[in-house]
Amino acid sequence: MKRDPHFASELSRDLTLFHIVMMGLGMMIGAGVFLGIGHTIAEAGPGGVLLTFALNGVIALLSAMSYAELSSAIPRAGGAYNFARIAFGRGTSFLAGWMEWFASSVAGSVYALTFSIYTLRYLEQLGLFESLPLDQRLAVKVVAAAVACFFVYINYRGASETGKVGAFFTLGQTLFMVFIGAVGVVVAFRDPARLLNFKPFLPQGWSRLLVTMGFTYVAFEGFEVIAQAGDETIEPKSNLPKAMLYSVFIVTITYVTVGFATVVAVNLSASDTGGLLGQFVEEHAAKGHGTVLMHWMRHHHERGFGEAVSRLMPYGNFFLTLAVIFASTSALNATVFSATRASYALGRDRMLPGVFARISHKRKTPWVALLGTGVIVLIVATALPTRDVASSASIMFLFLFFLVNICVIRIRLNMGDELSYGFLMPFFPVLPLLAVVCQAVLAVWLVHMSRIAWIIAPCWIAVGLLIYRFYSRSRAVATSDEIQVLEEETAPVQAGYRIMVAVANPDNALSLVRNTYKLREAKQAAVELLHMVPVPDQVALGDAEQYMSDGREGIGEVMLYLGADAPVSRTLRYCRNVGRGIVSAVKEKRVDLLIMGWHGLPQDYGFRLGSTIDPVIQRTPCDVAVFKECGDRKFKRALVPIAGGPHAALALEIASILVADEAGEIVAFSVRTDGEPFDIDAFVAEQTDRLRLPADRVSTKTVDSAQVLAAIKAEAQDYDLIVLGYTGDPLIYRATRQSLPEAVARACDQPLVMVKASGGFQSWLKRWL
Amino acid sequence: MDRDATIGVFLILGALSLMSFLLFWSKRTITRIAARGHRSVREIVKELNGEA
Repeated sequence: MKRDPHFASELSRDLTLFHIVMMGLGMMIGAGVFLGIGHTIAEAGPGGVLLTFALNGVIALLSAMSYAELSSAIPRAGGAYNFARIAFGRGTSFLAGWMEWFASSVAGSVYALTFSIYTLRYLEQLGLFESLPLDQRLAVKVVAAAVACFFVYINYRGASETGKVGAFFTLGQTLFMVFIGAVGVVVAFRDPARLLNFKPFLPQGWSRLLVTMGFTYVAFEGFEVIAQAGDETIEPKSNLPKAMLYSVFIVTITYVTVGFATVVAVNLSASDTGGLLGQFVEEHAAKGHGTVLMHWMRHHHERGFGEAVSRLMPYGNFFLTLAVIFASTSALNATVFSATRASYALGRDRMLPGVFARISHKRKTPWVALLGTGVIVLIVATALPTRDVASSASIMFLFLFFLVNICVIRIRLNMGDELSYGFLMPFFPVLPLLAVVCQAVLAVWLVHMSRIAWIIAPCWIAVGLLIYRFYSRSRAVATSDEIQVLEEETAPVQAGYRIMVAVANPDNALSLVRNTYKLREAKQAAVELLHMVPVPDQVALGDAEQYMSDGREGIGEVMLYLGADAPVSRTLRYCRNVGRGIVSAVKEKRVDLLIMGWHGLPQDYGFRLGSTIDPVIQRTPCDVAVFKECGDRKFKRALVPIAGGPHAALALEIASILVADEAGEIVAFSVRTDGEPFDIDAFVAEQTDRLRLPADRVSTKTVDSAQVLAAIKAEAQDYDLIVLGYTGDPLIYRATRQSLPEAVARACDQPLVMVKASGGFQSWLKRWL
Repeated sequence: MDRDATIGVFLILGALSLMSFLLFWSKRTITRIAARGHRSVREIVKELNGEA
C-alpha cells in the first residue's frame, strides 16, 4: 500500500487519564482475582493470599515503571513489540510480538473459562443446571468455547474496546470488588473470632508463595493494554506512566483487601459449619482454622472465591455472578482485540505471512489475525485444565515483562540522549534488574503449579524462533527506527587488530587518517572508514541520498591517502542518531580501536565533549582515541599526565606510536597533592616492559601542587602533544561534574589525544547491552 | 500470633508502603518533568540533581 507523503494520518487523542486507568483495571480485574484467590488459598493458605498479592504488586510495579518510562519516551501503539524493535531490532521484536499474541490469547481463554465457571455455578445454585444433560467439566468447556466464539465474532464486526464505554463498566466492577473488601473488614471488626481463620498463617510454609505468586501474575498484566493506547491518549508522556502506576497500585490494594475478605467470609467457629464445611472442620480443626479453610478451598478449586464471598453478604451470589460476567467479558473482549492487534502487526511487518494483515473488505477488521487468535483461545480453553491455562498465561506474561525490563535498560543507555522522556524510573538500572530476577524466579517456580505450562510456553517460543529463522528474517520490512547500511565496500578480511575511523566531514577526515596511518603501521591493523549519515525523522530513507555527499568526499580523500597497499574498508550508513550509529557499527564489526575527531568547541548543554562523542565513549566496548587539532603535525615531545587510572597504559602506548616517526620523547607526568602518593616510576617501568615501549625515550616527572589542572597546564607549554586518559565511564550518567581530562582538554591549546581503554566485564556487558 | 504471621504482616505492610512511596515519588517526578518540558535523560537527571 502506498502512502501519500503529504498527508499523515493519526488517531484522535481523546482518552483521558481516567479512561486509560480503567482500561488497565479492566484487563487486570478480569479473572486473576476470581480464579486466583481460590487457588492461592488452596496452595499457600490464608496468609499466603495476602502475601501473594502484596509482593506481586511490588514486582508488577517495578515492571510497570519500566513500561511507564518506555511509554513516556515512545508513546506509540505497539507496547512490548515496539519497545523490543527499537531496543534490539527485528529478531527480538518478533519474539515480543509472538509472545504477546500468545499471552493475550491465553489470557482470553482464562477469561472465557472464568465466565463459564461462574455462570454455571450460578445456574447450578438456581437449580437450572441439573436439568441439562451435561457433565460439569464438559459444560464449562462448552460455555467457554461459546463465549470465546461470540467475542471473536464481536471483534470481527468491529465493535472493539474503545476504552470509553468500557471504562464505566470497569469502574462498576472495581467498586464492587472494593465493596467486598470493605464488607470483609467490617465483618472482621464485628466478629474478631474470624481472624482465627488466619491461624496458621502459612500452613504449607513460605516456598508455596513463589508458586502462587507466579500463578496469579496474570492478574497484573493490564499495563500492556495501557501502552497500546499511546496513540489515542491525551498528554501521553504524562498520562501513560501515571495510568500504569495508578492501576497497579489500585489493583494491589483491591486484591489484598478482597483476599482478606475471602478468608474472613467463612465462619468456621459457629453455625456456618454445617454440611460440607462441617466435614472439613471435623477433619482438620486440630490443625487450626487456616488449615480447614485451605482444604475447603482445595475442594472448590477456582470456585472457592465465589463460595466464600457468597457467605459474606445477602444476595452475594447474584452480585458476584454479575460482577464476574461484566469483568470477564470486558476483559475477554479487550484481550481478543489486543492479541489480534499483535498478530496483525506481525503480519503487517511481514514477520508472519502477509495474510495476517489482510483486512476484511466488508468489516474493515483484520479477519485472518482475528481467526488465528480465536483458534488459540479455543484450543487452549477447551483442551487444557483451567489451572494450566492460567499458568500458561502467567508464564508468558512473565517472559514478556522480563524482556521489557531489559529493553528499558538498553533504550536508556543507547538512546537516552535522543528521546524525550516524561518519566524516569528511580534507582536505574537496579529496579529493572531486580524485576528481571524476580520474574525469572517466579517463572521457574511455576513448574510446581503446572508442568504443562512449562512445556507449552517454551514450545511456543521455540516455534517462534524457528519461524523467525526460516521465514521472517529474510522478509521483515525495515522500519525508520533502524540503522541501515547504504554503501559498503569491504576490503579483504584480515584477522587481527581492527581500527575504525569515524569520519564526520572532509575537514576532519585527512587529519584523522594521517594519525590513523601511524597507528595502522604500529598495530598491523585493518582499517575501516565509517561515515554516518544523520537523516531527520521527517525525511524518508529513500531521500537520504542527498545527505551523503560530504561523507563520500571525506572518505574518498582518506582512501587516496591510505593508498592501495592498505587494507581499507569503507561504509556509509544512514541513521537517526550519529552516536548510536557509531556504537552499533563498532559492536557489529568487533572493532578494537575507534578513532574520532573533536572540534574542541565549548561544552554543549549537559554533555562533556559533545552529544556524539560522549555517548560513543560511554558505550563502545572497545578502545577509543579522540583527536583534537592534531592535523598533519609531527610530534617530538608528548606529555602523558598519569594518575594511575585504567586508561593511562593506553595513553602511554598511543603517545609512543604518535612520536615514533621523530623518535620523540614521552614524559609521564604526575602531580603530587596531599592525597595518596602515586608511584609513577613503578607504573611506567611496568608498562614499558609490557608494551615494549622504547625505554630510552620514556621518562617520568612529578611535581608538587595543590592545583592539578594548573600544574598540567604549566607543564604542557613545553610539549607539542598531550595524551591523556578519559575518566568517568559510568553505566549511569553523571552529567553534573566536569572531570580533569576534560578540563585539561579545554584549557590547553596543544594538539591533544584523549583515550579510553576497554575493560573486561564492563566492556562485555556494554557489547551485550 | 505465630512467627510466620508476624513476619507476614510486616512484609505485607512493607510491600504496600514501598509501593506507596514509589507511586508518590513517581507522580512527583512526572509532574516536575512535565513542568520543565520533556527532555533527554541526561538533561532531566541534571535538572533533578540540581534541584536536590
